[in-house]
Amino acid sequence: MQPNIKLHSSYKYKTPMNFDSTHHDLLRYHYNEMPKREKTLFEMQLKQNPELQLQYQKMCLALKQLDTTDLLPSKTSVDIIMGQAQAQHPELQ
Amino acid sequence: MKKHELTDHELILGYLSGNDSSFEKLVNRYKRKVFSVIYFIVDDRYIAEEIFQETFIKVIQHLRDNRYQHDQKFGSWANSIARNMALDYLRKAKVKPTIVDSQGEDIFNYINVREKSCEEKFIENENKFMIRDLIKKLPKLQQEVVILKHYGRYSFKEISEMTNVSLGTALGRMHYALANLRKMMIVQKINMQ
Repeated sequence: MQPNIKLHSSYKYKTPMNFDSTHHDLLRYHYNEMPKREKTLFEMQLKQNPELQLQYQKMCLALKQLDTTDLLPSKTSVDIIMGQAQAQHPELQ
Repeated sequence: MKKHELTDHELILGYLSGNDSSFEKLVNRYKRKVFSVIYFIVDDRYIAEEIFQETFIKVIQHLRDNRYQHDQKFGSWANSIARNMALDYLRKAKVKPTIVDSQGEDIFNYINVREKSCEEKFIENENKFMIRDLIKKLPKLQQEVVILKHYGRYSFKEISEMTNVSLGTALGRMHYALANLRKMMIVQKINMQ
């Protein structure tokens, strides 16, 4: 039975018919891009909906794999830049 | 008491008045975002490192020459320099210079792994390689959103603006990218736990 909660309009009809928007919400939730109230409502939905939990779990597994690698410049690059920043300092010109 | 985080504008003024650590803070604040933009365009970590350095050296020169307009957002400005430099590189490069080993592996990745192999388990390194390869196998538009979102840490709204698509399209691309990655991981038997 669906809980008697007044949900944000975008959560009123989470059925397989709007599969994509459910996933979009999961992504926005995961990356903390939901307004606070929307996030609270979504968490309630998530707690009570096993299917949604399963979808979230699957998504997190893929995201966890992405975390095994990172994309940052090397420390050497940052050091070279800082060397230039000091050498070309405006006050020294 | 929460320490006040200096704004970009304050850091720029700090650097211009002689405080180098202000500039270092700016670099650290934007390195991830700027690097991900470059990497997505050139698709080569070694080249991306070079362009990343050139981008910030150009930033320094512009600041030094008072060519930075203080009403601009520093992040967007640095990104546009990075993007233009990466696109210039592609235009100029007739043959993309990749340094590969005898197995065709990018030497830069190889060096990276050797540096970290003492700290990380073999399986993790193996997965890391596979994940990088899998990301490269995604359709270009999905690859773009994964790199900008997950590694560049842009918001979906920022990505939609950068790539001139709706928010829904950016989210959709990320969703399909993850679904595709999951499928490829299953096929390649990558341990997903």
